[in-house]
Amino acid sequence: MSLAQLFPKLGNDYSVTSPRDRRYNCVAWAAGVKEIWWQPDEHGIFYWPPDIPRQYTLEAYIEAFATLGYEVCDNDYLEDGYEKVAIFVEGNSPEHMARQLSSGRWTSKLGMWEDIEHALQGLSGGKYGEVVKVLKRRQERSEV
Amino acid sequence: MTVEIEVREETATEFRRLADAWRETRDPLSSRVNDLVENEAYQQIIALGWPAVPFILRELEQELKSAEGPDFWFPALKIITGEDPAPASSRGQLERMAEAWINWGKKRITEGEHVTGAALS
Repeated sequence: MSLAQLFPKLGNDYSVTSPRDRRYNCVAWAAGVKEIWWQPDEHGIFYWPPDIPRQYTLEAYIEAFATLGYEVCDNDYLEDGYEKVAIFVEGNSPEHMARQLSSGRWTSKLGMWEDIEHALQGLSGGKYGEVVKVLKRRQERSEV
Repeated sequence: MTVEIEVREETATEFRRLADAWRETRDPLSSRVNDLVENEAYQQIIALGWPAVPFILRELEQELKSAEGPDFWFPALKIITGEDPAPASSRGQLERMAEAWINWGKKRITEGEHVTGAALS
């Protein structure tokens, strides 16, 4: 099944920007990390910021990114001097995260597959659900 | 203390079948390992118990050499053995976790019978 079939709004408006890699996932990639799989699994096998609840809840994901300096934001516009990440939720469970690039487009790691560059809404309405929260922080490092 | 495992050819064949089925039927776009673990074939691998462990460790050894990196065998290993040799500082770092499990296997497991032929690949 193609990405366009899985994400009807994506169409051809995306580019693949990495090879397939199991070493990191979308949450890590949103945090700017390429060597670690971030997940609040109950077995404690994967990385999750210390002292943050290991739960698949929007609140836990917001708290995890608060450890990196992110706070809740009311829009997904490109803002000079800020980095933004978006949390996609299906049902009550966070299913995906994306990070805004300096161009205003977004970068996502698709599970065990590749990174893609895309419009934020391109991944909505599919298996990842909808963007329900955008977080931002002051830009403090170069883009990865 | 070491664990002696009798490695049977039928276990090798069954493990290979289930590993292939897991990779074919799982959702590669999920970022949640739980989705991979709840897969029926993965659960059947866990149900094989200790006899599956040498085969899982061999998969990890092969995957360490691959461009995509180690696969998500860690929950199965932890559930089957009740152990987790990966240090806390390596959480989420799949290559370090795989190395820790492979080293653990070399120390803990002796195989009572070796299988020959293609089944072990």
